[in-house]
Amino acid sequence: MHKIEMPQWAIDRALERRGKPHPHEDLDPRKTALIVVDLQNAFMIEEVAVAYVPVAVEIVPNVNRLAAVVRATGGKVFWIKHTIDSGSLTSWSEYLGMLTPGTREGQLKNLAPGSRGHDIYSTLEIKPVDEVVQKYRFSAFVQGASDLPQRLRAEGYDTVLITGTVTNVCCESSARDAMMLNFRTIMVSDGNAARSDEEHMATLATFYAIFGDVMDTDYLIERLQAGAGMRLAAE
Amino acid sequence: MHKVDIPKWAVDRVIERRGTAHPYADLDPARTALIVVDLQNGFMVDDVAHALCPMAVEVVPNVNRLAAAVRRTGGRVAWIKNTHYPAWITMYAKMRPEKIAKRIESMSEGSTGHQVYPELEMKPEDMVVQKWRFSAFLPESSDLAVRLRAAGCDTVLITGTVTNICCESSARDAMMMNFHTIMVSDGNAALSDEEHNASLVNFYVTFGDVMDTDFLIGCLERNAAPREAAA
Repeated sequence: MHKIEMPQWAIDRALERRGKPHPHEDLDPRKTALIVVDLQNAFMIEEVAVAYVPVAVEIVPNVNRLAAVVRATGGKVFWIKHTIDSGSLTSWSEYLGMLTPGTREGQLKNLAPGSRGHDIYSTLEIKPVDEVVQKYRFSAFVQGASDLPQRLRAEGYDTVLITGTVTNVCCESSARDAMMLNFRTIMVSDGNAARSDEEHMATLATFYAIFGDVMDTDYLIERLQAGAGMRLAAE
Repeated sequence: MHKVDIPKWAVDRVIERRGTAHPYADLDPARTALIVVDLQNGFMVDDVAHALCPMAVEVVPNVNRLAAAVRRTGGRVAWIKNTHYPAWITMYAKMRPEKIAKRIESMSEGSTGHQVYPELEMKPEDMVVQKWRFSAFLPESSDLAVRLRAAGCDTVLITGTVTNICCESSARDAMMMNFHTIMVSDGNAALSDEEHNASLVNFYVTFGDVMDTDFLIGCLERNAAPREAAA
């Protein structure tokens, strides 16, 4: 698991900006979507990996716990699958064209639908009520990537919890774009995985200082349950 | 000026993935656009700024040099102006009231804060583009991507402020929207060297290229020369 220590400058800047440590602590569980980014074999099992991130395996229990609470409190879980196929050679020529032929072939082989690399890691507990979304860019929210923003809006979700891998690549890009598309966005500090503690923390610090909220799994579960309890008390 | 530090592991990883340290050294100057992000008084002049970034003043000479080289070699310059957008709920809903008031004052059209910093040399043929989010490339934020494509540009050079906020978000989205994207290491400004370098290194390893102003001007002039000779 990553060693998580929010730098003081990020805490100071977040407080100066918002006056309190957790701007989204009053989240509405029924309007909350858990976004699980790219927890696929291609990032978690070395022999089919396009980018092997060992810590990704370590966050699986937190993601499963969070998914169960999100469902129980009225939200929904969206499993995002990073996808590269032959269409990507033109639609995202920028990325595939920049890679060496060997790296490019690895992407086309291990992130293609139907491949073992493309499958979600086996110990993640996917339920029939969840949704599975393919994305074709790092961010799940940018133009051309997926229909995730449309699906979320159509179903009334305005708050997104970002988990998955890689913290500073697909997760951060998804989180930044989600916030700019007006979703209340929370990055889960112990529900994301990067290649190093340093990269993980650089992302969380920048995101927390300006873009949105950062919480750990336990605190987030507490907030979801408190939100659901308050609703029950009011009804 | 920021002390730029791109560690060797980052260069090694780029070479491993892309086969060269600078995949876009072969850029086409006639299809290149310099994107100058938010070099407005609202980030640069102490008494009007809602978010002062002192380092931004120091990148002005490099941005002017680069703008001249881009125009000279057939490319375009786009000046991006960050602009207050009242319906951006996630930006404003949780901000302290006095911060909101200051940002609205500084980033509204017609205000001093909203204007491009006076020492930047804008030319009549340049584009001026308003954006309503951190990133300039999201369709929800501006029509920059559409205008660049219409002008035939496929390569963007990202300069401006703040490196790890508006510049990095613009650069990430530009790359995902299929533009060759280069962040200019000594043409961006952040609040600290640490944030500046973390942003550049992350971008360089996975998203696109990072070059300094001198190297970039060298590429523009070298790549323009054969085309001029052939014409």
